[in-house]
Amino acid sequence: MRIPWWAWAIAGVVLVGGLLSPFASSLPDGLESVIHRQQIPVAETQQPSPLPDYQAPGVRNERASVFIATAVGVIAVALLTLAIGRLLSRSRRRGDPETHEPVRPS
Amino acid sequence: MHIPDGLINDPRVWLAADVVAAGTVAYAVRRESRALKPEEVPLMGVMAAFVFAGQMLNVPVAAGVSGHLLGALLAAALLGPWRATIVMTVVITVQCLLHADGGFAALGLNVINMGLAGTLVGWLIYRGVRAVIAGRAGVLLGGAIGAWASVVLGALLVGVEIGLTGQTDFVTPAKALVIVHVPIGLLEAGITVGALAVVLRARPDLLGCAPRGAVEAVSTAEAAP
Repeated sequence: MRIPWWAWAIAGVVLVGGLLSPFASSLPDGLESVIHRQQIPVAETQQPSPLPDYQAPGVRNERASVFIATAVGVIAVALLTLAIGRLLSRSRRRGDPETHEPVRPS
Repeated sequence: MHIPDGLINDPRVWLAADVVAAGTVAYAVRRESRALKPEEVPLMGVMAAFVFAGQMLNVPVAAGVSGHLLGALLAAALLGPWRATIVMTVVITVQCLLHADGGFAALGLNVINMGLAGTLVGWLIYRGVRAVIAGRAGVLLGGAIGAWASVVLGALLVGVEIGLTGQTDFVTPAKALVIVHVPIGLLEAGITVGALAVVLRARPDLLGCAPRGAVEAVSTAEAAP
């Protein structure tokens, strides 16, 4: 089976993103720095998530942990987007009699 | 720029944002359910992967402050505003649910600030520049200005949203947010232009440009008897 170009591209993003992500700056971002400097109140909230703060819980090696969290995230957004796109492009096929045979309910 | 839950404490503000974001995304989905072709789907998936990875890679931009790519304008330039809106919404939703980056109630706020500000407003600026400056120069300049503007507009929106809660005045947080995001916007512009330049070389048709040498090829063909 021939692997499609987009699978290579996504695998490339997983690899490059995963390998670079442990070296990402941990300095506060623009919003965090302003919240801190101006002491804008932020209420404590609990937000359960499987991979909080881009770390894989239970993985002790820091780089491996970030790599796993990044890879899972990249693959998740790619698959979810592909699935949504597929669904949308299928509904077009049903609804566009000019380019495709209309599907008649039997 | 991800707003955590607990920052925008007024439910009226985040609820209104959730409604606006949901309505806009619903419109995008409806539109693309008529327009999207199966062969156009893979690029959306690749773009989502690229934007997610790009948003993880914070780099220092000023003393004690880091920034990362948003990617909304880049996605809009390559996919059009509505497909890009869908892609950005998927990325921001997964960041929230999988990684607790950005609050759940604040999802609408984050989709507006980091998604729609770029995919719709940034895209309009990008198209505006391209309407004035033709060809590759227009793509790159429009990409740079649109990308920078989308980040600064996103920051301004965050400031206004904080002001709307009544905990602070409107000006102080907005001013600080815009100032700190001016260099972050330059980072966005740089990465966007770099990516667009690569696409212009490899697949200029994705940006509505003719391949290099196409003009000469046409004129030679016309000159031939």
